[in-house]
Amino acid sequence: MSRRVNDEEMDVETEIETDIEADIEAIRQEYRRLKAPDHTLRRVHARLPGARPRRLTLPAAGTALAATLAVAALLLALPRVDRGEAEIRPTSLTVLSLAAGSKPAGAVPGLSSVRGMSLPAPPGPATGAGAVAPSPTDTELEDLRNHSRDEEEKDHANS
Amino acid sequence: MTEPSDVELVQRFRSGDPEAFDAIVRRYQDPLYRLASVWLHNPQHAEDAVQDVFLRAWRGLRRFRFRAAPFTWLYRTARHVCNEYNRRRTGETLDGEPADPAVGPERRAGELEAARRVRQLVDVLPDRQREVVMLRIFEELSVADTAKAMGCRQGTVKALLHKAVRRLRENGMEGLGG
Repeated sequence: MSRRVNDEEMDVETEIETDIEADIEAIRQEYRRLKAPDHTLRRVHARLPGARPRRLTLPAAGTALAATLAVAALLLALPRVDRGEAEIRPTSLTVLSLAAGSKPAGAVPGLSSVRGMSLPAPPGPATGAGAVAPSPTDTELEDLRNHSRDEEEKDHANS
Repeated sequence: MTEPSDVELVQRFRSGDPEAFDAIVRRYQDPLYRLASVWLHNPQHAEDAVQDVFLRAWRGLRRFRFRAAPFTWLYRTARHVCNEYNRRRTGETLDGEPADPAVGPERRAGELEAARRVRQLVDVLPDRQREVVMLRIFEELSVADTAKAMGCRQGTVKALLHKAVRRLRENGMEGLGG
């Protein structure tokens, strides 16, 4: 009595379990130990469209921080200049200098490349090169002159 | 709590859940990496290829229409990507590649050996028989899933597997153990 066998009904599992099963099983077990690297998901994420840029390296982060500090310090100083308060406090200059890695005098290298501008020189004696607003002393003198002129006119009128 | 099915994960991903994509990657990175290791003879290339597959999945699964199982889509994409790699890198061999410093030497040696032995086993087979052996025997997919992945009937899978096993027996298994 024979059993009809065709390709679709063939019991392949039984076939495998005969003479070569042990060899295949040994290879299969070894093969199944293959694992994708642990960083696969992380690297896929890094390559996805719109992925966040890689974390800045330390030197790049330092440069970015310095530029940010320099811009912040400049923005704090600018309104004072607009109001005629020409003085930039030494602390501000110190921050700017430290941030930009330069000494506190004149244009600050690095900052100009960030904002396209340079700092005014700190107020210095006599040269006037660093003056960014009328001298307070001149203003006061002018006020005194005006006040004196007014007083003279009043005196003249009274007499 | 049961694991979400592939279809559920893809649906969640299409709805904008990025965690679902991560789950798909974690679920299939190992099978795809194993298949790619055998197809490409090279762990580093296999790693790159698997990443490429998931990058394509990021785009492709958004438009997935569920006419096939998600794994079938991933498997076919992997096969396509590996074929592209093989076309570009014809002649390169497994042992001649520089080692990835991120992979330890012991693990790399094990991967090379496992991939080499599987490759040695299936290399004697025609393409379709090799494919069915890889999926049915080594990835332990069901006959139905193997048929879906290969795009054929279940009966064809059984027939191909029968012929493959017979051929392996005829060629003998000597040398594969060591």
